[in-house]
Amino acid sequence: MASATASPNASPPLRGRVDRWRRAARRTSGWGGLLYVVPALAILLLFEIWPLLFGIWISLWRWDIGPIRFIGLENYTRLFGEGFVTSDFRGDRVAGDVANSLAVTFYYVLGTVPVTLFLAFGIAYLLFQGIAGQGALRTIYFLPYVTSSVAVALVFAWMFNSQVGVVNAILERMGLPTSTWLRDPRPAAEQLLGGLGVSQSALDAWPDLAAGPSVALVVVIIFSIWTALGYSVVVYLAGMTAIPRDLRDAARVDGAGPWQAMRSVVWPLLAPTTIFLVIFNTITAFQAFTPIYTLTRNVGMGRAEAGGPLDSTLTITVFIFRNFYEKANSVGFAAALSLFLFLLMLGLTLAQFRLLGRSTDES
Amino acid sequence: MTAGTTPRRTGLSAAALYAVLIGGALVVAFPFLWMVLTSFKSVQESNAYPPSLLPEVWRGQNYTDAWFTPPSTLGRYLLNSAVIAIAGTGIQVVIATLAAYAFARLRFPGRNALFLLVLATTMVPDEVRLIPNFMTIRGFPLAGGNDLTGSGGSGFYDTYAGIILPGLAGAFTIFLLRQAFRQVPGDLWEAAQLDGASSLRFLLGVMIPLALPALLTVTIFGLVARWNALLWPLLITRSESLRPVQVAMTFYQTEFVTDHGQMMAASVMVTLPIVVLYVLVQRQFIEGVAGTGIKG
Repeated sequence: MASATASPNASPPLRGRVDRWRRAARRTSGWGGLLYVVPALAILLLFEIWPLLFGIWISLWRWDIGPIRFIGLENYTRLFGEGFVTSDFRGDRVAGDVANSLAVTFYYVLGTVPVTLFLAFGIAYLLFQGIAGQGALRTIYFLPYVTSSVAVALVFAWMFNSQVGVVNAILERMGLPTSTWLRDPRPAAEQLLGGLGVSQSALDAWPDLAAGPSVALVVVIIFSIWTALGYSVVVYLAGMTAIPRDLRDAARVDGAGPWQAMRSVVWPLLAPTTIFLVIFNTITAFQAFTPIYTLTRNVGMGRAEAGGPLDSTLTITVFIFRNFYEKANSVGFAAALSLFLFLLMLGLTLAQFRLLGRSTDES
Repeated sequence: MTAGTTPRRTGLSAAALYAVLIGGALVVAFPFLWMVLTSFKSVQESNAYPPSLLPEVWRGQNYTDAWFTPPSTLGRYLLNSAVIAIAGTGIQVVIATLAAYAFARLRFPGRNALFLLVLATTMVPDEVRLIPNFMTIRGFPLAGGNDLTGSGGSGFYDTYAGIILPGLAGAFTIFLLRQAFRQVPGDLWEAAQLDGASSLRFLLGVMIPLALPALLTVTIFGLVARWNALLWPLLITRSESLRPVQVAMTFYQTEFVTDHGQMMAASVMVTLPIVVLYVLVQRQFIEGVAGTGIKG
């Protein structure tokens, strides 16, 4: 009797099939599979993994077009030393350029991400109410994300033009005060509070580094929210559509209105989506370059450097660019800065994971 | 996402709902509208304050001016961007397909460790790679007059290859395609093995046709990202004739044009290709974003 296992005494046709199967299996395992991943791995090693090590190496040099002088950790002592605390022309201790850049970056991220998510959730929830024309509206809300580029940033710069911009024209028509927008380095909150009648001496008591974003940075933030919004709307809308029907029906049977259903069913169930969007949008905002470069260059007096006016829109990414591209001899320092930014983002992402992850476990 | 699967409005008044949504859409769409309207205005009109909504005379002159003002015309920049977007995305998708297929279906030594390595590269932000990659591209051995040690010439600096090379193996693309390939039923694979099909034939004949939607999605992401890219092309090019459109637009801002109507006309021509692509493959695009939650 033939045994159940394919053994030497299996019938010849079956044995032939088993051999063929074994040969085929051998073809698809072993070193052959490695050939498929070699091109991808070669590119990744050269342009994504090697740069980390190479970047550390560059940061230890005074480096111009090539290495000039090995200076050890000097770039880092500059970064953490005078980068954070330095003295002004009177000899007073003031915040350094790295500290300023960090503050601007945090204002930019904090100004962009929460507002984007809040608006996106609201728009997605309204679109989710089963209205006619949902598809067409979704298309429009998503369009700025697709076209986010220099070309559309130029339109914003033109709309917020200090002399003939359409935004000022609209504000004037509504009887509201106008602004020089991208040319205004003063803190936006101070401008707003001053406009509401808060005295100058009260405003002066506030520390400079915690003054909040400048008016110019607020324009950059508005542009960034405009381009980022559509992505979060689409992801939220997909999340809402994926909520099981019976859960939504249960809420309706319980007599919950749309507001209550949102608070007790939709928002808690979408917590993982929110976590993903917070992290994704934060990383995107930390890396933002195009909006700041395009909107803030060439609008100040004489200087064409991005990050103005008065460095009030100089995020770390643009600061790295300035040191690398626009200054001689600062390539090593720029490399040190970019590694600092990497560790900062890594730490922040892990912290967000833990904090947000814990808060959803509890709810 | 049909009306039947979404709840009926109860408390919210339909009129208020539409007012908010359409009002919001108008605000979102206004910059595009303003771009198009300004592109038809004369210098006097675009600099008038307060500005008028519609141009007094619709003139197409701005478009021809914007096209011919730069030394090598806007057409040259559009061509550069098309070459970079199509070649870069094409090569990237081929490389990623091969890798994703192997990670999804083939067995080879170190497979899991290598896949983790691929995923780990997504943690490295662009800024960190910027400076080292610039040095690597400029010091590429035996390219652009360089010797074997990478010195003497300019490597791939200021070439199409220099713009395209570093982005050729997107880890996200590999990840997305691997997901798609894993969804192909396992018994198809076993059947093909019994028939003696080679792994490459199985990839071309079965996997790729079945994973076509995912391939289309990553292709669209790749095209859009490359068309809109600014920082890397700005760093790695010097020649005016090699500039992609977005880099060229920053020069419209500073060098070529002082007339805003003309600048907006250039903006329209640069944005139009991507809008057309978006309208054509909209569903694929939006569902790609919704399904993966990942761009690029």
